[in-house]
Parts: sequence; C-alpha cells; structure tokens
Amino acid sequence: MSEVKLELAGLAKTFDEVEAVKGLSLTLRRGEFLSLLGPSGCGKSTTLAMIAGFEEPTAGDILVDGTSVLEVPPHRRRIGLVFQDYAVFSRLKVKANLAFGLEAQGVPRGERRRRIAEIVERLELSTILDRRAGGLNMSEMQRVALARVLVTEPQLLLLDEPMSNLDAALRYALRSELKRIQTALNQTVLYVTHDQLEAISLSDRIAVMRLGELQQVGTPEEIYDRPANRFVAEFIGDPPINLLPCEVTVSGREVAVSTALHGPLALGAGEIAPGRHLLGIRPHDVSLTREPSPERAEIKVRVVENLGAEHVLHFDYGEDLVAATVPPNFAEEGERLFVALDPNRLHLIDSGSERVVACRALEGVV
Amino acid sequence: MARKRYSWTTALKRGAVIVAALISFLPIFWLFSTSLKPYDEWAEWPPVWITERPTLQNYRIVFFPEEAREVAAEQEGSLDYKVSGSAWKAFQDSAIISTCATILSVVFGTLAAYSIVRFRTGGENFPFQFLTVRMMPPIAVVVPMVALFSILRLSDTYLGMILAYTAFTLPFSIWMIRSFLEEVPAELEGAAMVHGLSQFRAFLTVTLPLVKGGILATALFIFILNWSEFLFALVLTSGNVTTVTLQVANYVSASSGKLYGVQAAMGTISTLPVIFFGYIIQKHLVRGLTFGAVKR
Amino acid sequence: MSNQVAPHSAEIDSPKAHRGLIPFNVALVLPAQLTVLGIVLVPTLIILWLAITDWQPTQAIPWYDAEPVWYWNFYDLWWDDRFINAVIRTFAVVAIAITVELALALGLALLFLDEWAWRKIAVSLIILPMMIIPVDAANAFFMLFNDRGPVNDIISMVIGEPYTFSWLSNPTWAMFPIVLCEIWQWTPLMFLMVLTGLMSLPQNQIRAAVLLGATPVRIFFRIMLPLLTPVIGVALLIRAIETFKIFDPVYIMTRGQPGGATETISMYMYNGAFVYFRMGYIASAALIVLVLVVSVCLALSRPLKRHS
Repeated sequence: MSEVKLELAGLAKTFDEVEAVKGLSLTLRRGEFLSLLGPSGCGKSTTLAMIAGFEEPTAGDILVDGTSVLEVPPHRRRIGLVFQDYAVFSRLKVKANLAFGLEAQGVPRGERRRRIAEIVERLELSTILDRRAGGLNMSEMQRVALARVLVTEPQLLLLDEPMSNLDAALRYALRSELKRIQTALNQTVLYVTHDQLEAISLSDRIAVMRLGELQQVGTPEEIYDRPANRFVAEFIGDPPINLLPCEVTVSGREVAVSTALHGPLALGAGEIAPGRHLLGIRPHDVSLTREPSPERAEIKVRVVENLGAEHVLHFDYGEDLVAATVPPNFAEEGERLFVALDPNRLHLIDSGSERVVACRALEGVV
Repeated sequence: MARKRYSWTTALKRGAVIVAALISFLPIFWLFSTSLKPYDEWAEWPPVWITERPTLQNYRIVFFPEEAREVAAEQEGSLDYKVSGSAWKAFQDSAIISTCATILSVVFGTLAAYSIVRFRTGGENFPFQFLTVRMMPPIAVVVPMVALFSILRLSDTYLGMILAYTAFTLPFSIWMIRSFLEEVPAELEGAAMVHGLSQFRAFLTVTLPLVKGGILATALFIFILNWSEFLFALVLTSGNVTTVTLQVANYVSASSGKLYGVQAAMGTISTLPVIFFGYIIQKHLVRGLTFGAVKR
Repeated sequence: MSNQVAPHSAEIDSPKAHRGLIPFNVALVLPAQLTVLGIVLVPTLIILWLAITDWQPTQAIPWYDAEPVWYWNFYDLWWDDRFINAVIRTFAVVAIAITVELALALGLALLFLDEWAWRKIAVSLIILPMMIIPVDAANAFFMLFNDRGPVNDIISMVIGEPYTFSWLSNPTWAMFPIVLCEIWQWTPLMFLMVLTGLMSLPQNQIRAAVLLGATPVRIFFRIMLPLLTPVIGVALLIRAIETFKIFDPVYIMTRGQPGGATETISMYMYNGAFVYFRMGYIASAALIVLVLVVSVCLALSRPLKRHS
C-alpha cells in the first residue's frame, strides 16, 4: 500500500477567468480507493477530465508511476473511466462493448476470450451478453460500463458519480459489490461523488473539495472525527453537525470555552484569539440524561424526528436549536432532559479563518 | 493534449477545407468573372480567368435587349437566338408570382400545421399525404396540368403559376411550421383560454408570436424555392408570363449558345437575392430541406 | 360559452367548437387540402384518362375528346428503348450521386468536428452551392465544361498540351458534367445534415472509446457511424427522392442530347410531351413513374416517420 500510483502536483484549470481547480496536490497509492467528495461545481469532474486527458491543465502536473502523462494522449494513458451516464456503446451488443477495448489494444483472440469470460462471470453479465446495450436498464448499463473498463485492466480506474442514476435500494447493493470487486482486483480507484455516504462507506481515503480547492484529505474516520475546517465539518455527517456560538478565553496557551448553557470547559493548549467563535458538536456526541448533575444544563425537547433505527431530538440551546441522536423512544416532545458537552468531542472553529483549532483534548480522540 | 505533435494532421485538415471551399466557389467565380468579360473573351482559348478589360456591358444587355441584337450583329453569323424581352419583365413577374405563392403557401401551411399539431387532424398519416406531393416528379403531373389549365384558362397566367407553386411548396411549409409549432407547449394556449379567449384567438395571440421567427424563416425558404423554380415556368407559360429562370434559359438555350457573358450576368443578378435570403435563414435551411426531420 | 371551462390537454385534442357545418380543426386544413387536391389530385385523375389515349395537341382535338387506344401506350413503352434507358440512367444517376454526396459529406463533416477560428466562415463558404439557383449552377457548369472552358484549361496545364475535349457533345461523357453539377450543388445539404448529426452524437461514448485505446478510424467506423445511421438514412432518402426528379441541369446543359444519351426520366418525358407533343403516350409513362414513386416512398417513409 505504499507505492504511489498517481500524483497530482499543483494541478490547476482556468476556464475563461473562472478557476475551476486551484493548485490541487494529491497522491493515490496502488490499490487504494480514494474519493473526491464535494458539492457540484467544486471542480471534481474537471479534475477527472484532466486525469483522463480530455482537458489540459493550466498549471501543474499529473504523474502516473512517477512519470508525467501530460504529453500522453488520452488513448495511451491506460486509464479507465466509467461515465456518469455510463456511455455504453448503445448500438453495439454487450459482448461487443466488452471486447471493444481489448480489440482496440490488439489483445490476441485467446487472451481476449479468457478475460471477457472472467469479467462476465465476476459481474454476472452472462444473461445479457447478446442484447443491444442501448436497450439495457440503468443498473445493467452500469455493470456493462464497469466491465468494459475492468476487462482492459486499466492501471487506474476513474468513476464519475456512477451511482447517481440509480435508485436507493440498488445503490446499496452496488456499493458493496463495487467494494468487493475493487478489493479482489486490488484496483486503484479514484471515485468522484457528491454523496458523503458513498464516500465514507467505500473509500480508504477521502479528499474533500470545495470551489476548486482541496479542503482535507484523510481516512473516513479522520474526516468525520477531526474535520479540518467548518466546511468539512458541515459537509460530512448526517444529521449535520451542530454549530454553537461560544466565548473563548485564553490563559497562557490554555484554551477554555463557555456557551449559552455551559460554563468554561477546558480544552487544553491551542492557538486561538480570545473572543466569539463557533463550537461544533455532532448529534451523536451530544449526551442527554434524565438525571440532573452539576455539569449538566436543563433543556426542553422541541421536536422528535423518527429515523427508524434512531431518533433525533431537537431542543433549544440558548438562541440555537441543537440536534441530538438518541435511541428510539428515549424521550417525548416537551420532556425536560439534561445535556452535557464532552470536551473530547468538541470542534472549536475559529470564526475568522473557519479552521478547526487543534486542542490537546481534541487531539486525543482517536 | 499535446498540440505540437498533431499539428501536421491539423494542417492537412485545414488544407482539405480550403480545397473544398475553392471547389465550392469555382463555378460561382466563373459565372461572375464571365459576366464582366467583353464579348470577344467569352469563349476564347485559352480561357480568360480574370478579364483585364472588365465591362458592365453584359448587365446593360440583360436589361436593354436591343443592344444584345447589336452585339450579335457585330459577330459573324445570323441572329439565331431569341431574347423575349428585357429582364425587367422577368424580375417583375418572378417577384409577383413568388411573393403571392409564398404568402398563400405559408398562410395555408400555418393553418394546416396548427390543426395537425393541436388536434391531430386526420390522424398520424395525414401529414404524409402532403409529403407525397413533394415526392412525385413534377414532370409527371405537368402533362395533365397543361390539359387542366387549358380548360380552366389558367395557362400562361399569374394565377395559374401562383396556384401551382402554392401546391408544390405546401409540403415544405406544413412540415417546417409543424416542427416549429411542436416546440410550443399546448398548455400556454390553455392558460389563455381559461381567461375566455376562443381557441383561434388563443392561437393568434399566444402561439403565433412565439413561432413568428420560424414562420418568417419558412416564408423566406419557400420564396427561394419559388424564385428558383424552372420546370413549371417552362411548361405552364408561353410568353405572357415569364420568370428569371426562364430568362436565364433563354440566353443559354439559344442554339448558337454564344451569349455567355449575358447569361452569366443574368445568372449573377438572379441568384443574388437567393444567396442573400439563404444566408439569413442559414440555420433553418437544413430543417426546411429535410421537412423538419433534422433540427439545428 | 364552452370556452369558459378550463381546458385540459385532452380537451385541446378534441375541439368542441362545432359552430358551423365543418369542425374548426377540419376548416383549418381545408385551404391546404383543397389546393393540393385541385392542383395535384385532379391532374393525377386526368392522367388515368390521358394514359389510355393517344392525345396529341397538334391534332386540334380537345383532350377530353381524344380517341382511346387502351393499353397500347404501355405496350409501346415497354419496347421503347429510349424510355427504358432513361429509367435505368435515372436510377444510376441517383445511386452514383447520393453515394458520392454521402462520402464527401462525411469526409467534410469530420473536418468540422473541433472548434477553430474560421470554422463558421468556412461552413458558410462550403454551403454556398446549395444557395445558387439550380438553373444558374447548371449554366456555370455548362461554361466550365465547354470545350474551351476552364476545366479543359486546367487539364491542359496538367498534361502540358492543349486539351479541348467536348464533354457535353460526347455520348459517353456528357452525363459526367451533369452528375457533377448535381453533386456539387447538393453535397452541402448532405454535409449540413451529417454535421448536425455528428455534433449531436453522445460525446461520452466517443470519449469512452478513446480511453479504451481506440484509434480515430476505429472510433469512426465502430461507434460514430452506427450512431449516425438514422441521420444518414433520412439524408439518403431525401436526396434520392430529389435526385430522381433531376431536370434543370439536363435541360440547361444538353436537353437530353447527344442522341438521347443524357435523357433522364424527367427529360425524356419533357421531350416526349413538349417537343414531340405525344401527350397521351407520355401520360402513360407518367402513370408508371407515379405508381413507382408512390410505392417506393410508402415503403421508405417508415424510417422518416420514425425519425420525426
């Protein structure tokens, strides 16, 4: 897992004065599954197009196995891409779709047969081999598009929002299937999505992008537990993170915060100016009890939202409404409960730079 | 993509485009170039590509045929061509016939297309009956038309020509306007009718303004077809009414075929309005010539 | 007033305005329908009568009083080599012209796939021929292929000695300038149709093929051409129908001469009806052609219908 397969070095792309991608640097190791995650317009598709060779970067370099591929035309890059619309060759049969890449690359007939048979079995395509690809349904198209690329054994597989055309039940099934295939083939994958659930469940690492800029790279756990800034904190997590205004006091290097309902909480050493900032806490980390205790503040449940496996309570916290995830039937609307904030589970966000400030207490989470 | 490595293919492609453009342009260039030549250079060997003595004489002959006779008299040989008259008459007649036929065709075509689009009048195959009109060779219909026109006293009249042109351009106007009307949702008229407008008033006030650009393009397209038409003009007229295409043929079909410069001059002026209108509706030309099947 | 009711789309489809004898929607198509019936259908019925007579306007008998000869016109046509040759020649012209037009159009369209600085102007220049009045185009080609015209001049320059071949009076070659004129004039239309088709192809399929390592030639034949078949079908159908009627360039350049060597169906019928004045005989030929065209069109209109 150590060998670097793909390296993006200061990659940038400008379309008519609009900076679509700004100085993106990222490495992808062999066999790694990395997701580019971000809302639409964040530059992830442009990045993909540059790696595939359809767009020429304005600045920066793309290295595969340590060699720049900028001078290599797209058809020689040996990069597989599954398009958002799958782009199966609609006028050809599924069989011909699968054989297309191998024929184009001049793979001998016997080898071709063997590899097609293998992929047909792996992706369970045998029943649709003789059908016109244009007449398939979405999930069949997706499998054909994936098989068509995998059969050519690309050194790097790019997936452009491959699930966005499928309905929810299918997505779930295909997610695990995709992960299974990727692991079995030890395939290096760059996966572009705007769906955090897909990114978290599939990826070894996630790169979060926003407005052409890389926000944070890390394992799903790191991204979730230690977001680098306010954007990542808000973008990841469902239900979304609670953001509370707080007052920061600093004595020496020791940082302490107080919120509307809670007194000073010591967070340990950190770099932040005293004053008003934001405190983030995930709904799963809000601790609620029925029993009062000195460090707990009393709140009243406003709304109970039923998510099936768990419930989300919304309650007033000072001026704000805070969400907390609790087991089903934990409390009812109007009930009075007691809330505590765990210093180890707080994310202190600098209201100026919007960065999450690293404090000792927060560092020690993992 | 690395540009430099592919530059020679790009150069080859651009070169091919230049050759194609030259071939497209050569016959038109020759027509225009000949129209400016004095008569002794019309059929000289080797041919004169660009005359060193450009003259507007040929254009004067087009409009003042008396001079044509004088020119021919200067040449050896007899006066064996016929010039039916000044081209003014041809331009005037062509303008009258083409304009009237265009208006009729577009008005009839709009009404029919609207009925077909909104009410599916006549079922799915109804519009195809109009297409068959365009599919049959006009020469096959022209023989009985001569017979019919002779008893209706329509031969060699404006009305006869206008009716013939209207009938044979209707398939284009119906199909072309239909393709424009199909792009306007029926709900818009429905909304107007909620406010008490009749169906026809709703069509006039809501839908028609939305497709007026398309209808104008159709009209220009039909006008070009009428202006360029030759066979009907040749068969259904005999001197009383004439058209620009007949006038062109008059110079060229002379048995001696000697008046190249004059034909070229007539050809150049007669085709100018067509080129002008053609470029105005350039983006609709394909839609028109394919009966709305291929849209841009 | 029935118009007070909010009209749903179902109601728009079935009008209720039966104010007069004729329903509103039928009244709308009536002007167009009557014109077509009067100018096209009535003459077609007259053909049925003329075809069984030997009416000749020179005999000073009105056509409706002409003497019937029943099936003899058809019998004569069958043994009329000039007619049979004209039919065969017309089909050959159609086949050659639309094939060459398609090949040229495809080649040209491929040059215009990417954006470049003068692209729009180049397209405008290349489609210039289809804007020219056909009679004028024929006139220009008549001059180009004159024995002392520029085509012979260019050939002279290439072979290095004077070349004054008389194209249009040679029975073997006279058809060549005519077909060339037709191709020159209508390749632009085919080009525009193919280009429109190519520009609206699903780009991702082409990109996918590129990434799978396919060469441009393979992509063109395996991916683009199959996707383009409906457009090509419509283009060929429309051009075949129009080319079948070819008349203007033949009339201007040769009138079917020398010795009938360039007579197409239209030219043959024109000569028969308006040079030899054998109206009845030509009406029979017209009937045959009409039956032929209508049946071919009915068979071929299916793809057009599907496309529209």
